[in-house]
Amino acid sequence: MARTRRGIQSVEVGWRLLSALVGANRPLMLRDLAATADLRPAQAHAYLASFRRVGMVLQDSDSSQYELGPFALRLGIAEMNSIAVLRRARAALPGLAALVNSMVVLCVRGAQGPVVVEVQSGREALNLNIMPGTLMSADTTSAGLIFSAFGDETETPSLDEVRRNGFSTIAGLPVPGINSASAPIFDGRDLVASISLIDADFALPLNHDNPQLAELLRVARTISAAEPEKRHDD
Amino acid sequence: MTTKVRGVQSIEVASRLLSVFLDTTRPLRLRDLSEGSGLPSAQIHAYMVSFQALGMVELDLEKHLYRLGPAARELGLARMHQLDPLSLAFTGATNLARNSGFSVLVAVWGSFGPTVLYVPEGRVQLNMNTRAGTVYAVTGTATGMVFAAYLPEQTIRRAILAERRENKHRMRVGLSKPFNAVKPMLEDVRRQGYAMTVDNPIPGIAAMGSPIFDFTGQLRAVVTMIGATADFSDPVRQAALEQLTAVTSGLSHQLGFVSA
Repeated sequence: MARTRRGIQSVEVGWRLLSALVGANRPLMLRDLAATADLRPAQAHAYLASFRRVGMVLQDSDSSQYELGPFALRLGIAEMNSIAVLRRARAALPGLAALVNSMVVLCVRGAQGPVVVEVQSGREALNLNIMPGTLMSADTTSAGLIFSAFGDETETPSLDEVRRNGFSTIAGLPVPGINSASAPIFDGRDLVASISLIDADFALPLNHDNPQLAELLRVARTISAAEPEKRHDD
Repeated sequence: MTTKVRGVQSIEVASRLLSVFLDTTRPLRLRDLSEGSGLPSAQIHAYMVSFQALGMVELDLEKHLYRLGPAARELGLARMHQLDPLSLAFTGATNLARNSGFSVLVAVWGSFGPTVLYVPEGRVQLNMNTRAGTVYAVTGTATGMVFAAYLPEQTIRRAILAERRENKHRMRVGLSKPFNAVKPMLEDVRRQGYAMTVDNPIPGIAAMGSPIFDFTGQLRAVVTMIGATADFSDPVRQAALEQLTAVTSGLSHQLGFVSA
């Protein structure tokens, strides 16, 4: 076990393999995985054997390809659950869905933009293919608009209205006949999540006096923390 | 680098340390990590230095508390994105049918209620009208009873009312009982973790359904084993149930579900 002053070298080497799997976004053969991580295949194989033992990666028995495993999923969930604002958001979703009677979706910030982490279906199944892990486009979804408007400092006049209103709406995009509205969740001044309502246009009108929108905003404000929350004291 | 049986020991030590974070929402002191992993603090520190460099762990310098970092989230989101719960369920159901000899089905909650998506057949061909696309009665089948036990009551009541308005020539399998009539049985389903029906809705056929949950605790699909009632007598029934629940709890684990 090589121990440098900076840490454990093999942990950092192992991360290169995991990082290759994150970046590829699909299962990889040993050869390709090793090449991406800049390792010899035999060396990569030893690391992957250990990652497999703990469930960090899986190997498909038919294709021999490697992918991330349940341990990776649990680490991500644990990271999000360590943030009190996100725990409150998740806890509030079922109640909000029952009240507004529409699909309710929680998104957090991922490296590639907003990502769905929880969906509560409303009245009926909408078959929109929105599920945990779905990436939300920055400019064609109301969740994406929230992250663009409140998530970075750059001046974008087209988002001024979203900033002024404190919520975003999109009609018919990306799916015709489907409306959505989203509100930001803050931890102090940091945007940490968005909550979206999604439904057929007749079931979710986007006029500003729609009580569903008022309810969304009320819940989003209740969850948000005015002061950055001390993550170690909750 | 110490290798053991084609592995890397420090990767397994690192994973032991990371798994201490899975059991808590609180940040951890070095001492907590030591207690949780059984490793000496001096050894842990070097790992934490690497974890911080990678963004896997963050350190609050004032309080000397460690918490998981953005790299941990990226791992989870990447897995979430790649996960295909239904294809996992189909593979699990295929193996279950092959290993048990019973027919198996995978159902999800669709616009019209419990909807069968996949039916790998067992060794014995059963005389039943279930195929991909078949819609089941909510409280009149083992599969439906699992949905009724774990979906919101409001959803189930609405589905039963809609079913009762359907005409006699409907294609649905089974006949739903009113919600209040099955309420105590739903308690049993939740306590036992599965639902069973015998000779109902089809005489001579018995079925056992078991839930698959995801990390949000929501019901994602139901896997049901179906066989001739005569073949489901104990101790075969008990063995079959164990095979079924091993598959469904394995799938729930894959989806990140942790039972309370």
